[in-house]
Amino acid sequence: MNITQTTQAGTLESNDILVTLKPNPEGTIEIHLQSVVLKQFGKQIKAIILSTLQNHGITSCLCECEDKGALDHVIIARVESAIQRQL
Amino acid sequence: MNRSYLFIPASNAGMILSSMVLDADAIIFDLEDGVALNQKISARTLLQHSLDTLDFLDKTLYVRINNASSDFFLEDVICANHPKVHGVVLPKAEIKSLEACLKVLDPSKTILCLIESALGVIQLPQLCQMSSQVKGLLLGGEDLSADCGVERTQAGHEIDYARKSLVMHAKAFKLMAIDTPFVNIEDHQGLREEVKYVASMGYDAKVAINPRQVHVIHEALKVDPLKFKEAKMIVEAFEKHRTQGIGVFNLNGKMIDEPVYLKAKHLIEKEERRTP
Amino acid sequence: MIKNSLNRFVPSHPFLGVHPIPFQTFPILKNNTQTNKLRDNLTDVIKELNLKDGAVISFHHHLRNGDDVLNRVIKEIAQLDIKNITLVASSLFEVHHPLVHYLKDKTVTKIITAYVSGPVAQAISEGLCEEVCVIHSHGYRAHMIASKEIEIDVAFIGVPTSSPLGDGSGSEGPSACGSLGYAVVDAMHAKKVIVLSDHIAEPQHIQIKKEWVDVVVKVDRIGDPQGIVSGTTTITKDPVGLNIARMTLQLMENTGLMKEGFSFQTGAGGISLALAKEVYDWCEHHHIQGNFISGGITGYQVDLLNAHHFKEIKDVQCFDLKAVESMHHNPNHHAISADDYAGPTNEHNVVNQLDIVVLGATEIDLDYNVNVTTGSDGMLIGGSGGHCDTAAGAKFTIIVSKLVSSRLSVVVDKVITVTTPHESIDALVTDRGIAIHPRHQALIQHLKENTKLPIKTMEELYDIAIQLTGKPEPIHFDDRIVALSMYRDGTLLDVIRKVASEDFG
Repeated sequence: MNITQTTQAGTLESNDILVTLKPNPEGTIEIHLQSVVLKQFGKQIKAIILSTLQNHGITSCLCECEDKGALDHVIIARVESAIQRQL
Repeated sequence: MNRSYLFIPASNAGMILSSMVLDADAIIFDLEDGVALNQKISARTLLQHSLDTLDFLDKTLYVRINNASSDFFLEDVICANHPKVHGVVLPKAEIKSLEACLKVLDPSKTILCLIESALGVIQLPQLCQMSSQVKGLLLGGEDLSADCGVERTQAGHEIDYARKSLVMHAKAFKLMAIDTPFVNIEDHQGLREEVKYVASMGYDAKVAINPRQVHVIHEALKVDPLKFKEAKMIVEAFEKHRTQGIGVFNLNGKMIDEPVYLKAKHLIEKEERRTP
Repeated sequence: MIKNSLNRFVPSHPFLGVHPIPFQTFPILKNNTQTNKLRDNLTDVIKELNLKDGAVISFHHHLRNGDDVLNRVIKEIAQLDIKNITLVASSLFEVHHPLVHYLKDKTVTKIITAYVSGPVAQAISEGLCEEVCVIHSHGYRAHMIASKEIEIDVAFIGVPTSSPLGDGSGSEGPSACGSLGYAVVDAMHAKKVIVLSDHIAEPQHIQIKKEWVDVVVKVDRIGDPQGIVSGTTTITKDPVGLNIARMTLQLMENTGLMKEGFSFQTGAGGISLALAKEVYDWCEHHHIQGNFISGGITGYQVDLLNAHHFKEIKDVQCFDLKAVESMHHNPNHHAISADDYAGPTNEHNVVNQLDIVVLGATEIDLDYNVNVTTGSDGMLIGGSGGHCDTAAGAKFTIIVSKLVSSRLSVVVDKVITVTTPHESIDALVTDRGIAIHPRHQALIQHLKENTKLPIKTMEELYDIAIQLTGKPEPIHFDDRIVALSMYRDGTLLDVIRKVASEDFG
């Protein structure tokens, strides 16, 4: 599936994450993550975002995330909602 | 038996995460009025993942699905068919919407009918008998007064008929009677008085729209310890007399018979409802 | 490096466990009877001090995040091109951010404090302070200064109302902040005491005595009243926090310590304040009167005093206006010095008389060690304050916290920095369960049999948390030690290392 527009899901409340998906002219998946737990969980969060995108057949997008301490299931839900809003 | 039903907006990740450590006996994850129109689908996605992942401990979980005439209804019901969910709260419960719900809801799931339209009130006898999945009636005072075109007041005269009718139907068909939310969330005294009032007419539980209301609801539903002690004595004495074939007797100057015994027994059961 | 009893490596003076600390008394030698102390030019006063490179100067933190005194004095000193100052500040806050600049230009090269937050804390973590800083407890600071273990050349003391001769009060004047508990020790024992005040008048309640004071400088302002005390402190509205408070009260009840004449201390965090309110209702219901409440004081403790649920407040610092006003008007609301509050060698210290103290934590580990010094990311964010003092003194010490907030678990495998050793911690109350230290087997049994409290082991709580959050990656540090975590007997609990900078892009 192609990311053709800018869509967003989630919030900036604590325990949540704001996910923004944009088209990426480079043709790759690029993830920019800001997080209140970057040092402790940065790698895990990026991995879960990437696998969620890939599971939905996405091969190219710019994914900007502002994380306020969301757990994995919340991250997955928000990425999926951002993808769903592309439709 | 649950004393409190706490609404948690399904769009709020933090509130879902802490829902199971709150005092409420039952949680209603709200997909309907507590969620903005453009967040409906993302809220459901979040709820699905939360149900899959989190341990909700001993909470009874309900989902308030969107109206049967809405675009979200079918997917909402599918979400509520999740094994961890006990049942649904059906908004604008009327014969038509209940029929629609029964068609798609898993037969193992409970339905709490949210009575919030004049037609819903009038159709109570049918709603109570349409399916054994219907286990409770929940009063929605805000929407009901709007439907009737009258002002909603704290005194609640405008919902008086519905409130009494609902509890009588619940008693007649052995369903749970759950009272409408108390909307002024800072007024704990007002809430306490309202809980005592509806409990006195037979309501089993109250909806909470803020977690801080739950403790007040539980405190207000507590049985007077003196009455509880008296009830224990009555039950004990009655059961002892019964073994001797005596159905009516005198206890401390008070005549005890079957109805007095049953009332006492009911009071004890109420008090021994599970506490957190 | 030497291994201490907590298996932490420290450069010297290893902590060897919690042991009774011998009492000592230290004479107050100051007796300045001069009559011409009043000055009006701070710049001149500081010039005339003839401070040398490497001087030791001290400040108190009663003006909290509204403090002007420290920033002004350091700026004056920097203008005189004096370097290598050792700063002995009872605490440092956000407002002290200009200090970062003076760490960089080596005006200040060492900080000794009980608590440091904001940009200064970050600067220390990033290695901007030349020498190793010391993070001690409020109580040890009092001992250190009184015993001359650290000799203060000049104490700069902001005083809300001072007489021309130096009699000072904290609860009067436009910059009123209440108790001056942490400043008293500096005033008694520093070689030179300079009072800064924006209100020169004879005070009604004297906490700083004129014989300790050498110079009184009239300044236009010692602080921003907005930042000194908050107008109101409020109970948490977070239902999870309220639940923790209710469970904590139930635990307290079951310790058997809540009886006529009990003493109690709780912090100013949201959960702690909710607990103060719970204690209020409990005392009312049970008709039990406690002896005293102590520590940092808010309106909620004042309510307990006014309702006669406690006989006395022993107040080392005020957090809000209600506390300041109460201290001024209520004869049972006493200002006490840091030494009388928590001085480990002071025979009559308040913390040793405490029955129950309730404290917060950034981290608590499977061994029950507590960290309030560094964040989960390894950055310096606080310090003991009175944490290890009260925990050591009280008969029962309870830590309260949410188990998980914003993906961080309060229960960890090993705390990054030990602030308060496990010996002093008795229980942890979280929203997802209560852990009682295994040394209290009888209490654990009692709670399991007689209450519905969710009693768990620390390991169980850890598992619940990790299940939710996942296992955090270890924090990377440089080898360089930037600060020491010092226990209230002067031994070292732990070291704080420079945080490695990493790019997560």
